[in-house]
Amino acid sequence: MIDVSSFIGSLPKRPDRLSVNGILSLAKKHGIKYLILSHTSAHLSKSTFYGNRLLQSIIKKYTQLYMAYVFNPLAPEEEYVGEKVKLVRVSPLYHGYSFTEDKLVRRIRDFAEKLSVPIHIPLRLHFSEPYQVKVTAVRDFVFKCEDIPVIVGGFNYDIFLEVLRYLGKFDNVYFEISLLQSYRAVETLVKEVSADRVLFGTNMPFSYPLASILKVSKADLSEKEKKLIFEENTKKLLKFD
Amino acid sequence: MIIDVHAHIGCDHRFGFRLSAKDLVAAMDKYGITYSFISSMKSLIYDYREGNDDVEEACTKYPKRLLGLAAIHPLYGEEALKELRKRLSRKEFIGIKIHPFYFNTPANSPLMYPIVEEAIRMKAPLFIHSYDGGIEVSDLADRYPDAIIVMYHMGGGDWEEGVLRVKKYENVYVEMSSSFVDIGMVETAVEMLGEHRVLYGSDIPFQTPAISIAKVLEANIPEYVKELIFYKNALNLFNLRGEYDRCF
Repeated sequence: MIDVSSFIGSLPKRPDRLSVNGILSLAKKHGIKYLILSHTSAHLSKSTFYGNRLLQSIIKKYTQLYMAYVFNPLAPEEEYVGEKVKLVRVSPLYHGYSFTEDKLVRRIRDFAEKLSVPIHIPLRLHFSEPYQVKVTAVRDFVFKCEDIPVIVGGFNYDIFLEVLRYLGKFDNVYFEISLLQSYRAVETLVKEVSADRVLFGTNMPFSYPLASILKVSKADLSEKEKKLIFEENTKKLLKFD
Repeated sequence: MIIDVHAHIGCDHRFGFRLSAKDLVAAMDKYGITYSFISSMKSLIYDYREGNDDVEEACTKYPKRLLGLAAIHPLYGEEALKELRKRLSRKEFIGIKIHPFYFNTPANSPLMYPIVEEAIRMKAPLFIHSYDGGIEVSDLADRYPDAIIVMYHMGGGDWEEGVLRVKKYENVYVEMSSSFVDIGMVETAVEMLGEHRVLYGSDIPFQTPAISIAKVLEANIPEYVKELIFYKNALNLFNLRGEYDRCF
């Protein structure tokens, strides 16, 4: 399994309940081979420097950990982003911009293209956090980024139908399931967009990974589809060897 | 073995949910759930009595799998009390479902008092939706120490506050469902309330049963406590032992 959506750090209404070792221990227990992490302080602060650098220092020590670099298009670009970067994550609400600003969307797109990695839009970081952007704004973002993979996650049943209707039709959009909790939602997602575009994520350290594992393993899907979701899609998308 | 004290049938078109009694039983089979306590989504967002009709029909069809919760709407006054008495006199119903948000009435509103008093008289447990950190439920429990109250969702996102608020009320039990799968939820509830006041619930279809199952399985608590939470507490609390002895 590859976890495409986990974090280090805490959130305003959620303390940091798991250390890095705690995260790795749960990952090992459940057979999660790699995790793509960002630091919550890089999401919550307009200056992403501290969070990204802190995370760099952590992931260097662990072969299982990879980096989701949090990019703020309003801030000066860093010359060196670090190693093991697999994703660019954005945090429009906390960084104070909207996807209607073409110039900023272009900056995000250009930055991700430069690193040759997908863009990850966590619609929210946890259930205790607000949604960062409207689904229609994500659609407009994707219109401007049709040549680059975009991962959308952090949505639950309250906006699931919107997500499907507005974003399902874009072949370059992938759907991450860590916060999608409703009954048969994973099956619906697979039926609507195909298993090729569904990605496994856990929302560690805020959520137990077993919840996401069971959502997929208990779903009425073929073993091949489950394997795609758990690992194969991410392996291919993020170029894991 | 699992007893789910929080499940739904029916339709909620806002989210595209459709769950018939047959679908629910299929889901229960998949997740090893023997019994589910059900209310109808129709009761919550359309007509509480029509929803209760659907629940009664479902429980009649699946008498050894489904147990009914009668949704009682406090704003309907005497009509609601009649509905309560009617449903609770039937073997298909085991308790009362109250949803302060959908019923537009706080759980601690004076409009709730006649319902709680009737529930106490009929020895019927109240299953109350709580997403306010347990504020309304704890206030109600303070006024009615003889009522048996199950606080759904442990108080919601602010579940730590919820558990803390009801700690001193021995007549309040907590059910764990919600989208939150926070590390330490179940441990905290067990530590604060004791192992006998925590119940498994799924809130299907809003949550897949996997979510609450994961919360219990991952909790750092002894195996026997997990069994208490999954089904033994519900068996004891709701006097299910005789009639539902397939659990043993």
